[in-house]
Amino acid sequence: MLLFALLISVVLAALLRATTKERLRYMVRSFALFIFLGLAIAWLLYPFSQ
Amino acid sequence: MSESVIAAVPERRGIPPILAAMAAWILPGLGHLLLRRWGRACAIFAVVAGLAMMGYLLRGVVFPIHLRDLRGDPLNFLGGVGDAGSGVFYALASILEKAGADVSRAAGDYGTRFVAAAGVANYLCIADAFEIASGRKA
Repeated sequence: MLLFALLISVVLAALLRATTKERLRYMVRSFALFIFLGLAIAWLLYPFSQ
Repeated sequence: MSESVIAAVPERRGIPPILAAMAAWILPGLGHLLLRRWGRACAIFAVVAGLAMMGYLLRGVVFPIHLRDLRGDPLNFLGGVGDAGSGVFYALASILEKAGADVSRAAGDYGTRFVAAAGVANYLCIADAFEIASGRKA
């Protein structure tokens, strides 16, 4: 999940932002959101797996 | 006094947009390389290659494209179209994933998603190369 989030964040940052600084900020933010939302959804779905 | 607004015509850069798009599809990052976007070209190649190779390492399913699937199994066909976005990595799938798919384990499932993500991410990059070559994007 970490690798997937990192790779997708890199490509999105490269495509959607123009300067290096903006890209880095977007990449970090996007990566953090991926991880946070992934874990949040996993915990939300956890009761249904039992 | 009326003002006439002349719509700005995008200025094309370098190679024709369709050529940039095709190059970007065949080899991820090549379209941007031809447009002299070195950083983007490297990042795109690294990401698409990384996603595809991780997918093959995890032994994910690589969907083939068969026209008969359009009626028989449209999701299979769509999966193939998605995977095909990674260009040369899709073409070489049978060589790069020698052991074949194995979805009996969770890793194989993850691999399938990685391969699909490689294709779909490159479709975004193809569109980006087209936009840059058309002059609609810096």
